[in-house]
Amino acid sequence: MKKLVQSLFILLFVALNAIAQERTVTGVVTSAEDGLPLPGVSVRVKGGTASTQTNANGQYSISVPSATSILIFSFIGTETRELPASTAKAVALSTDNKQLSEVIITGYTTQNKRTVAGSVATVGSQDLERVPIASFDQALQGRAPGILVQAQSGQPGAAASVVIRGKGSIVGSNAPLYLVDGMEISNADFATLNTADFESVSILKDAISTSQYGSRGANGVVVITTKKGKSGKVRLSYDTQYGFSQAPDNKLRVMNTEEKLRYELDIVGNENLYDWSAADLEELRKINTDWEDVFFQTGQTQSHQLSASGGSEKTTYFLSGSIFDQTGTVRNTGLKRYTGRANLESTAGDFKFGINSTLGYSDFSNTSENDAVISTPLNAIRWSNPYEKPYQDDGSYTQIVSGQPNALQELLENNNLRQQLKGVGNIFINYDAPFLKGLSFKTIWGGDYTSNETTAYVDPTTRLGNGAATIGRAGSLSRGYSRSFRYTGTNSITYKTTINTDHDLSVGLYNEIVNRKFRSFSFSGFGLRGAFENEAGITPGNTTNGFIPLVGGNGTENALVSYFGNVQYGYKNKLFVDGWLRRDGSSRFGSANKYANFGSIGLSWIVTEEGFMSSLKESNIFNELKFKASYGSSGNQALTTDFAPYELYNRSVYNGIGGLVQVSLENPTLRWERRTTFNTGIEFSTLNGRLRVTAEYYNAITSDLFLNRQLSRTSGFNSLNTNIGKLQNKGFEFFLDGDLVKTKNFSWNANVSLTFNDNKIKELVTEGEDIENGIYINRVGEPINTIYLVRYAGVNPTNGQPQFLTKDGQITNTYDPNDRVTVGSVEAPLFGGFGTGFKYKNLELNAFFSFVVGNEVYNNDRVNIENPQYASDNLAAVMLTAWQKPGDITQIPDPSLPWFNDNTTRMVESGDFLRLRNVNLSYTLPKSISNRIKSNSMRLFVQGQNLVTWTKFQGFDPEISTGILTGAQYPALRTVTFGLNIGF
Amino acid sequence: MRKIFYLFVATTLSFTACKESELELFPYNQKETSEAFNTENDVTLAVNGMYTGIRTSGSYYSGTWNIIADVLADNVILNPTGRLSLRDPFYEWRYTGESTYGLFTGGYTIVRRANAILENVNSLNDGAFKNDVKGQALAIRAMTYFDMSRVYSKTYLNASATDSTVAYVTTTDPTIMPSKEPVRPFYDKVIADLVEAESLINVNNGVGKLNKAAVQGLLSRVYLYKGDYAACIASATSALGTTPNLPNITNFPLIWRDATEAGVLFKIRNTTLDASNTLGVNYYQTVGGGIRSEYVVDFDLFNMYANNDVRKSTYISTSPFNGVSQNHVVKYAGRGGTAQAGVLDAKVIRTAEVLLNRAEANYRLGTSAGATAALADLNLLKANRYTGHVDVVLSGQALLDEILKERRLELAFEGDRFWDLKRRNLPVERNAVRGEKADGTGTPPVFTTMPVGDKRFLLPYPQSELNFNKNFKQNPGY
Repeated sequence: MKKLVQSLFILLFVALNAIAQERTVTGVVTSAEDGLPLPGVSVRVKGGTASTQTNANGQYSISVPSATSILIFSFIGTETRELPASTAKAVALSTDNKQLSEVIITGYTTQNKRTVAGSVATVGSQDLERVPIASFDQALQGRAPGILVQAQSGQPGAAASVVIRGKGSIVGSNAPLYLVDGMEISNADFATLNTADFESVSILKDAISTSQYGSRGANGVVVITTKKGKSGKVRLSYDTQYGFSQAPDNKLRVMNTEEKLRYELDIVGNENLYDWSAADLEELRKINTDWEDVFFQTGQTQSHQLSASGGSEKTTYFLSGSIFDQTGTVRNTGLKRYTGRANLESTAGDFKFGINSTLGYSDFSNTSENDAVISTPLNAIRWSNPYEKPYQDDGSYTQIVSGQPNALQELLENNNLRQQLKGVGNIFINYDAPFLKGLSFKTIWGGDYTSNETTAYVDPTTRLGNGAATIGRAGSLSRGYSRSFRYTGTNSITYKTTINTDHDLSVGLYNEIVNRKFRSFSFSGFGLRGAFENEAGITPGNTTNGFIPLVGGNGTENALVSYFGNVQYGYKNKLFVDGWLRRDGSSRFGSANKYANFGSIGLSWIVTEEGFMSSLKESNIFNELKFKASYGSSGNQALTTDFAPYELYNRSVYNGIGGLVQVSLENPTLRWERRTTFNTGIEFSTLNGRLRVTAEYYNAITSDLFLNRQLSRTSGFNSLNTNIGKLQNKGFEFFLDGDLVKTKNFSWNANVSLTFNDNKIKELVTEGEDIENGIYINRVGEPINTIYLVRYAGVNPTNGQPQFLTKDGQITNTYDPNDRVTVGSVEAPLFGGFGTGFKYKNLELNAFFSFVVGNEVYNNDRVNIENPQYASDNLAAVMLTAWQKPGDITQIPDPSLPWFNDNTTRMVESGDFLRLRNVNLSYTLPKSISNRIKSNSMRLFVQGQNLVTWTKFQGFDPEISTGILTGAQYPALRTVTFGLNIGF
Repeated sequence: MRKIFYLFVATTLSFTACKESELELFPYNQKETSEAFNTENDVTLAVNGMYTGIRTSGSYYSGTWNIIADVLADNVILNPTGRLSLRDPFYEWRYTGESTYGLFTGGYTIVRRANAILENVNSLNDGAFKNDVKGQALAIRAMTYFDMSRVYSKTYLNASATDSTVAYVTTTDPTIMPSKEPVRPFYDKVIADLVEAESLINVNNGVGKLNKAAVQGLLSRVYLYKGDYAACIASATSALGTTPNLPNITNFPLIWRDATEAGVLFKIRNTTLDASNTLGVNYYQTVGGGIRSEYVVDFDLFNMYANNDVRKSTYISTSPFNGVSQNHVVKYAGRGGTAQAGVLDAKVIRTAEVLLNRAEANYRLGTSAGATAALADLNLLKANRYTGHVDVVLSGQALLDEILKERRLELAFEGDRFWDLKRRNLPVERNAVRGEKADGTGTPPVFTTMPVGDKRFLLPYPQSELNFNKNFKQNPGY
């Protein structure tokens, strides 16, 4: 505290005497870690106006009022240092690891973390760039508090489900807003972006952080900035990885041949299901196919990336190119991706302009998943009988005796391809007004372009091509094309000034437009009997051959026009107030509510700057303590359609002629869901900055929920989408990061991230009326998507019948839907991650775990293999324990009972898991070796992704973002890769 | 430099000003009401949309309508080795407020489309087009309401002044909370709509759309239910003309392959591309080349078909499934050849029914002239159904019985029987001994009798409507 007062005093003094004594100071800035010069470091005089940047050799030269002037050296990713000019000849900046001094992107503005009043979590590139997953959102899992990332699929390129601080919408979307360099990009579509290009990811969670995005901010905002060039010598970097993936262990065991035949012959109703003769049985017993081996393979991942960064003092660039090639753990699946990026920035006088752009191309080969369709290969793993082989001895596909399709044939003969082209970029011009220091104008325009071209070939020999649903079609070829283009344009005027040294003021006025347009078309041709598996193979259709092609197409558009402003005020660098106000106009809403206002206010206070804290500060109890609070609102406009408030008519066909039919009712008062959040927390560092803690509490109420208000059915419609209802998410977030050991050669650090979220419905359409949706119920006082089922109570040992609990907890043999009770939610109340890292000289080991606790999952995968009526196909091994005679104690009822009902808690399982998400061992070669090949740095590493998962869930993977595992799970990949990173 | 500053301010302001219009976007493949009824072409599209509603309705003419009145009554018997569809709620008369949802909402969905046309058509110039469109919309509305009333309510002749039926909604206002309507005024509204339609509609609108004769045919049906026999006769005569177009024995089967339009006053088109096979699948699926029926022909009904009756071979096929011979309903087998099985147009009203309506009405007039006319119509129908037919001479109860027998035989598996029993205030009496096999063995029905006055003659209203619309009361007993 004393020091600060002292420096403030000096500052004041300097300011007063600024004109009097000018002199020039020169020096060099280097990296504290490797001693290399740091170009592009900002050097400015504290309290003054002079500023400069270091040149390519890290050198700077600046005019200062006096030798006692304080110079501030700041550089992204390093700590900021303040030194008297007289001692600033050689300045070493060390990598920033003190939490509160980091510069972070908070959306439209960039702030020193110290001043941030909101809740912003950041994930740095080091945690993302080497993760061997194509879709970057999956790499966020467990990395930051408040953000729940669940991978529904391990299919190469698949996106995860991301929920920030609990679901706030029942009918609308819960996906956050994603931005790359200020441009909104489509959610759940990241596979064609190169994660290694990302400099940082900021996750905005509370109102002061999200209200700047107005009607799009309610679900949280993920702000991505890409790497920028640094002036100075060209830095080349080459990264490569090569590795292998395998499917995780299966915890839902199915029967082997011996077991299945025993079940067929002895257990299920004592009938010989297929009338196997003794000779048949002998043959069958020779076969014992593990269908996992048939469909799964060892996947391979390889990636190469080359990047170059450099530039002059005026112009900098960052260029990169990458190849990512991953084959999945299921045969015939994979992703090949190629990306390129060019980020350029140039200064000319008062103007600064630049471009950030990337273009990517991905080639996906996918298989069906997350369904209960018989021809889906991932279901065949469960359902195919172990005494059958995929191929007959002559090499042809086996016709499965139960009549199910041979799923290997479906997998290998059919294909499902997609080529994606994605471009994300922007250009900007910034003008610093010379006549008023601190006044800037900026305009930034850019977009997100995505096109997808799909090809689905269905061979006429397969079930998909000639099954009951496609009879007479003789295979099909479906082609589709869609494109989506969203542009964002933002103009801003900002003014930054310091008044009387104590008062820092910054004001911004913004104007923005966002528009998204989508178009698609498709066709399916039939009669693929010819020589070609492409368009040339389609037989021209007529009513005689029945091969009449199907054609389709679609389009939609939405737009947002906004005006907003921001005021940030800082007092003595210890008290900060931040406020946003935004007015959004949306094409998605009706005339009565086209515009809406959102706003927020936030406060942060560096308590340790106060005199009364000085003793605590000096005794290292609190090196820095910050208190913060914010309150405000943001909105959600993401309905499933772009024109929800209008009375609309769709095309129909009658007697081969077009018609129009009404599909929606008018609701001109439809408006945004509004999420109002109160957030407060403390951030502190203690033990000389070695332990850093953030703790936050939030309480978010979503009001005006999109819900369906019932209508009299005599109107011809059931319901009308209306804004009614309230939902609450409140919780705690906790982040702890500590340097346990920190010596010259050895360091050990650990971090923990924890989130408790309590989701509760406060109001629904009609008081006392629940909204039931399949196995879910939405009821006031319960979390959304609460499972509502009859409780299963095992098997009556006397008669083998299934037992249930009545509403009152009495055991009964009668299933009655009126006995349904709430049995927990599929939304996780507790989740997080923890990690640790060791560094000994050049050797580094990092491990990171993520976990989810307290959610329930409905395992529909089990429904199909614990149903005795499906005994003609394979069943779960647990079915061998079925009740057979009085006295048997088991969970599996007498299989001869005709009755099977899965609508009970029997199939509900805990979704808890703990996962070793990533472990990474790396070795940086000594300079003596790397210098020999003229390299600045060389690093070798080996890493494992998802190596171990601890869970009781009966399946491949407990990560089920939808709460129901329908079937055909494509589990998250278990990957080991070896990598090399060379810098020149 | 100052110039550049002004430039900046100017550009910033300029697109600030033009941005408001950016929010005026329009759907790509959808239209608003204000754009949907402006021209004759627009209205033609809306009319097609109205018919699409019938085509796609899961409960009416492309849904279960061609079987439900048979399943509820005594024309069919459940095949226990079928998929048991419709068994619990309908065949066993255990319907609840949830089983009849589609019949209710499906009906009102169609009616809404008709109402939207009637509300918006006035912007068009007066003339034949406008009249015809109005006529079609009125008739569709009346027809749908009449069918809904047959499901949920007593028929006119059996209803007291306080008995009620569905609400006769004539608006597209979605906020309405209507009460039920007394049966008798409801019938009057149905008739008024049909009579107005008759005066407006075109004589010919092509296959698949209502025309004047079809409306007159529908009127004869409604008048018969109302017991207004003179009006029934008049409408039927208008519909049939001086020489009723009744397909003969050779052509009759062609109706059920959509190979002729003769004898069909109105049907809902279901083209090869629409490919809805619901009508066929309601009765059976083909499994391994054999017919796996949901319901087979009731043993007694089967025996009522004489061997020289063309309807026997057209409607019924006796063939084994899983080695057991059964009498399958093949009325909706499809168009034959390479066409998809079970895909067929849905017949709404045929000349044969209108003729039977007139015959019965004539008989019920109680006059000797009426009896004569009734006998003539009966013989006309029979001459076109029975090979080697010789005119019969019947009178009194025997004549009526023969007319009603022919009605059952003609309209079997076409969605008439249960409503007809209700109209005539007769119980449902299924054969409690005979089963589903061709020889009458097998599993007899568990539920055999629905006595006159049983609450189950009136199907319950959907619970979701009652939950929300407190003005709408459930039928008694549910």
